[in-house]
Amino acid sequence: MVNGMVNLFKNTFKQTSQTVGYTFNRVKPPRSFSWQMLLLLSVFSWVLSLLAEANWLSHFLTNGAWLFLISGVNWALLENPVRIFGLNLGPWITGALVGLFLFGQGESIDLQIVLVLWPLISTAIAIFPYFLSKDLQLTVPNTKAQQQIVLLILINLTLSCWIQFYFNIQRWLTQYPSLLVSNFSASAFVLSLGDVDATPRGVSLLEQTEALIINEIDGKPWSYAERWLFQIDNNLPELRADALDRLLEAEEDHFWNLQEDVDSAGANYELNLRAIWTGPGTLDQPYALQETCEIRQTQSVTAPAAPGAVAGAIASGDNSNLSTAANNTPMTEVVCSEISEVPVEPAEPPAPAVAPTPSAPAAPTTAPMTPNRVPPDALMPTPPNSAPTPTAPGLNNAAPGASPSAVPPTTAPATAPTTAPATGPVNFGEPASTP
Amino acid sequence: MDDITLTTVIPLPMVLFQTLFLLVAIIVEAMVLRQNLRWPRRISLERSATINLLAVTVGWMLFFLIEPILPPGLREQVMSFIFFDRFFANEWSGSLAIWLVGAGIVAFFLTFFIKLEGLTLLLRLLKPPDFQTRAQILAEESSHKSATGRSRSRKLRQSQFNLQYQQERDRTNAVLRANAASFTVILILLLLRIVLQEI
Repeated sequence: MVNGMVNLFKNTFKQTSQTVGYTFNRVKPPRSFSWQMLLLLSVFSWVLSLLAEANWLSHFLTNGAWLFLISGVNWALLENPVRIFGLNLGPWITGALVGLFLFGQGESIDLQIVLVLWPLISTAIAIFPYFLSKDLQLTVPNTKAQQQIVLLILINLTLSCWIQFYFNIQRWLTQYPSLLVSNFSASAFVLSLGDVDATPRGVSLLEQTEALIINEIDGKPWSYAERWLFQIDNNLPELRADALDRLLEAEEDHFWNLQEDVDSAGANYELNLRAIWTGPGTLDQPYALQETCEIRQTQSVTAPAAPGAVAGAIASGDNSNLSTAANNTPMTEVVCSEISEVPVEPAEPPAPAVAPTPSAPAAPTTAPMTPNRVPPDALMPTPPNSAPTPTAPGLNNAAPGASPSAVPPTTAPATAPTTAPATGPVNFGEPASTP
Repeated sequence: MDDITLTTVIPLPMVLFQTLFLLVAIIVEAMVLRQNLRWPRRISLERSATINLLAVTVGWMLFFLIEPILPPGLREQVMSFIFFDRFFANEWSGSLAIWLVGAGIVAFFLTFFIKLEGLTLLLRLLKPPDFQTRAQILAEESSHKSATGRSRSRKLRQSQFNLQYQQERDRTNAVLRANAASFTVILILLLLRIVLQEI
C-alpha cells in the first residue's frame, strides 16, 4: 500500500517536470505532501513577504510564493486536467503563471512580452516531460514524439505570431488614431469588438487652429483682422504647423489637410475651416471636418450716435467690448460653430481659389459670394442693394455707426450664430454636390 | 513601442482565415505528398502540417522584420489593406499592382524553398533508416576509397548514391507540386471570397 503510494508520487513527479517538484522528489514525500500543500505554502510565503522588513527577504519570499504557486497549480492540473476538445490546457495555464512570474512583476507589466511569450513558455512546459526517461534521466524522445514536439512548437510559434500581430495593430492604431473613426467591417483581418470611442484628430486640429485664430484676431481692430484674413491663404501652412505643434505628434499628421475659405457676410466674414482626411478609410473620397467661424465687427460705441448699435452689441452679449471701447475703431469678434463632418468631392479646389479675393475690394466680390449663402440672405431683407452698403464700414473704419444702414449688420450677427452651425455644413454641401 | 494604447480591435478574422487556409493547404499538400512519395496517410499529414506551419511562422517573422522598415507610403498601403480591404490613393497607387504581383511570385518560391528545406531538416531529424543526404554519402564514399575491395564497394556506393539522388529529386518535385496545388486552391478560395462579396 505504502509502496503503491510512493509509486504514485513517483509517477506524478515524472510528469510534473518542474524543477521544484524534481528537487522535492529527492526528499521522500510525506503523505501530506500534495498540491494543496504547495498552494498553502505559496500563500504562507506571500503573507510572510508582506511582513518582511528587509527588501531582499521580501523578494526572496515573493519569488518563493510564485514558485510554490506555479508548481502547486501544475500539480493540481496534472491530477485534474482541464480539457477542451480533448486538448489538455494545463501547460498553458502554468505557462501563463510562469510568464507573469518572469516578466509580469514590478510596476510596469509588459503585457506584450508576457502574452507573446506565453505560448512558447507553455510549449516548453508541455514538451519537457518528453525529454525525461522513466527514471527521470534526460533522454532523447523517440521519433514519433519528435514529430509531435516539432508540431507543438510550430503551432505555438504561430499563436505567438498572431498575438504579436495584435500588438502590431495596436501600434498602428496608436500611430494613426484617426483610422479608428472608420469601421473595419470590410476588413479580412481585424474586427472591432464594441464601439471604439474615437474622435478624429482633425477635430483637435480644428480646435487648435481656431484657438490660434482667436488668439490672432479676436479683440483686435477690425482693419487688422481684415488684413490678416486677406493673407490667411499664405498663413495657413504655418497655422497648421503651429496647431499640430500643440498636439501630441502622430504619424498620421501628414494625412490631415487644412483648407479655408472666406465668405463675406454683410459687413462680417465667414471663415470656413476644413480638416480633410486624405488617408486610408472605408470611403473612396476623403472626408472632411468643418467649422465655420463668424468674424464679426463689434461696433465700439460712441453712445449717442447710434442707439441701435448699442442695442445690437448688448443683444450679442458683448459687454466687455462695450465697456472698454472708448475709441471709435471697430473691433473684431470671432465666434465659431460646432465642428461637423461634411462630404468632400475631389472637385473642391476651385472653391477656395475664389475665396482669397473677398476682403480685397469688398464691394464687387460680395456679389458673387451671395448665392452661396442662401440662409443669411434670407435673414436680410434687401440682399441686392444692401451688398455695397455693409462694406462701407469695413473699408473706412472711421464711420462705424454713422449711417442707419449699420444697424442691420450688427443685428444680423446676433441672430446669425443660432443659425450658423446648422446652416454651415448644409451651405457647404450644396455647392459641393452640384458639380 | 512603450506607450501603445490597447483597443478592442482584434485580428480574429485573420486568425480564422489563416486557420482555414492552413487546414486546406495541409490536406491538399498531404494528398500530393502521399501520391508522389508513397508515404502513409498519417505520415504525409504530419509532414505536410509541419512544413506548412513552418512556412507560416517564417512568413510572419519576415513580415514583422520588414514592416517597420517599409517606406511609409507602402506601409500605409499595407495598413489600408489590412484595416479596410482596399488600397487608397497615394504616391504608391500606380506601382502597387507590380509590387503585388512581385510579392506573390516571391511568396510562392519562398514558401517552396522553406517547405523543401523544412522537409529535409525534418527527415534528417526524424532519421528514417533509409535517409541520407547526398553530402553524407559523398563523405562516406571518400572515406571508403582507401578500403580494400574498392571497385566493388564503389559500385555499390554509386548505385546507392543514385538512389539517394533520385529520392531527393522526387522530394523536390513533390514539394513543388504540393506547393503549387495548395497555392492554387487558396487562390480559388480568395477569388470566391471576392465573388461572394460582389453578390
